[in-house]
Amino acid sequence: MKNEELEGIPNQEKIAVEKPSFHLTDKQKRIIVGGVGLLFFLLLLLLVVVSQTGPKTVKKKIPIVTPPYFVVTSTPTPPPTKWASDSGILKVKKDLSDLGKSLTDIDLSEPMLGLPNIDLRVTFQK
Amino acid sequence: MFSIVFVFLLCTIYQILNTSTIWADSQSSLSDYNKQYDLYRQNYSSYVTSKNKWLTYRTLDSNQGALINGKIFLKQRITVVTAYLNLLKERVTQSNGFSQEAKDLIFSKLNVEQTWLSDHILKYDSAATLNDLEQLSGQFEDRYAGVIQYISLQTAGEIISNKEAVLNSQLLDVINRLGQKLPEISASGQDITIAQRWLLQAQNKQELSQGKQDDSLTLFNSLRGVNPVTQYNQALFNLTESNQYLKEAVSYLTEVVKNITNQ
Repeated sequence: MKNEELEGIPNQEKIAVEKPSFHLTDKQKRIIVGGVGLLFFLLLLLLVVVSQTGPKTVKKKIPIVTPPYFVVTSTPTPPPTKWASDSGILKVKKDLSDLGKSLTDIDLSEPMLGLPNIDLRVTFQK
Repeated sequence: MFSIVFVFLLCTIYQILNTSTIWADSQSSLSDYNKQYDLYRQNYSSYVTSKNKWLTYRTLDSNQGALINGKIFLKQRITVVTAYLNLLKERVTQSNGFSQEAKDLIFSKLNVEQTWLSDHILKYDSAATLNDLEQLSGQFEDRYAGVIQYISLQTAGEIISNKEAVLNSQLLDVINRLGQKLPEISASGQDITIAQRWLLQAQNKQELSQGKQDDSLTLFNSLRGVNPVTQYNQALFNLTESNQYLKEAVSYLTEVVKNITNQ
């Protein structure tokens, strides 16, 4: 191809690309922001309405039973009988207390009384 | 008046001294046993070292070392057993549950063994070779395994069993006293049905406890075989069960008292 023929093709550098202009006026900007805010508000409103009116999951409510109010009174203890101060019974009571303590404190193993651990295979050979 | 106070003071001082003497005896025999046991362990180490030296080098010097240390160790082994028998004797003396006849019988058995040991220990001084020592050691081991260990374990078992027997007899005494009291309480117009039931339960528990004690005594008196320690431990376990029954009986009797007194 000759240079003359190439001259017909416009040089790429020379092509002036016309970029689309996005320049917005203040009024337009306000309209857009207001619209987006309104949309967001409507979306929120929709969610609230759906959550209130949509199919509700049936939650089984656990009934809280509050017990009726009782006044707890201690069981009246019968008065001690005349045997409570009887010397024989008092002695038995004390003996039982002492016996219970002795039964708990008793040492029924007494390791010191076990056999001493001595070597019973003494030899001087291999 | 002054003389009465003086006599009273003297009696009190005598009582205190008497009690502390028994305590001191027990403590001294126990501390002596511990001391001899410690010495035994030390001598055992020397014996093992010198024996290994002899077995390794087979020199005259190592032979003499083994002989000397072996003698010391074997004699100490006898001393430990003697101290152990002394400890048992002291404990028998202090124990309340033994009758005088039972004490005499145990003492005579232990004395026989102690006499044998005191005779036997003298023989070690005349041992001239390691073979002599081995022979003497064998005699001791036979005696120990055949007689001494059985008598010792039997005695130790009886000492422990007696402690439980004393408590059992105390419980029986309480049961009897309450049993005698109940008709008197009933005659006064008080209902004793529940108390009688608890008392019966306590009696049953006491009988079960007595049964376990009898089992343990039977085991203590029939120790035999290669490992009498196992039987000894089984007898001790029976005593533990007996103790548990006694505790339950005490609980029932406490309920009886509560029922009678409303307290």
